[in-house]
Amino acid sequence: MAAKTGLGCTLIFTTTSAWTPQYLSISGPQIGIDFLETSHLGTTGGFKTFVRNDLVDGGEYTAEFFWDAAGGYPPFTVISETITVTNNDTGAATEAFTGSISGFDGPTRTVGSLQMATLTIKVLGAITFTA
Amino acid sequence: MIEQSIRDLLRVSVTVRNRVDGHVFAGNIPHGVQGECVLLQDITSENFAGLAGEIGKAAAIVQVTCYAERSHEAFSLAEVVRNRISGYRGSAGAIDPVIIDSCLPIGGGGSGQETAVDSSDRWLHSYTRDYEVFFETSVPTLT
Repeated sequence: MAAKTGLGCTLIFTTTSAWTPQYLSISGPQIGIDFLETSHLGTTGGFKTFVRNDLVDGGEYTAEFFWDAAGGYPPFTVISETITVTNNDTGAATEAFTGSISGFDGPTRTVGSLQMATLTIKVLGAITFTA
Repeated sequence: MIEQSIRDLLRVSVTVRNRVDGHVFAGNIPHGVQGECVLLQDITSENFAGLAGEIGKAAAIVQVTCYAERSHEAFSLAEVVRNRISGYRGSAGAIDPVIIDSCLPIGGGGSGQETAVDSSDRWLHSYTRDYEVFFETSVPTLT
């Protein structure tokens, strides 16, 4: 397993494919798995006990991008669409899922620095990992 | 080279021309130049990149030094330059023009004094001010 930088990674909206910002970073997924406590008054050993919940929360992706008003705004009015994150490894491994924008932090407009904005995408179901 | 583009921006200004008669130089001052003059130098620059590579934007610190025989003249010349380029947004450069997004002074200015070597040395005073310039660049095609 070789370490790599993020250069070459992409995030594509299948439906609103015309919106293609210049991403600075793509973070995710942030998968969450709940555990249910099964400890009771008769539990021995001094430790709590748990069982894993049945379902996995696909979590969120977060992307930071250079803001250009001429490029339009993120598709936050779209209920859901297929979104694909492609990694920069030799096989271009992908993470495909149905998602919806859950947050958009617009740019801080100031002198002396490029404008940046942040997007948060909620994963609405399973993520298909393809190596 | 951004300092050449800003040089050209200054040279086409009537106000600047009336003051220094085209004596605006990038990199170095040619031997034998007489009278007031302006020297621009690219101190540092940065090409911005995202996950897809360079984004066609760069930033540079351009140092502008104004020379004159008296300190107040060097300062007033620096003010003429500031009036021309501070806040400028648009095309600059006679050959291969670039699009400037932002050109603003950073920090305060500073004056310097050079000691005359002999009677032929005219440059006794200078005033320097740095400008941070954001501008568009070409995106590499890897060819």
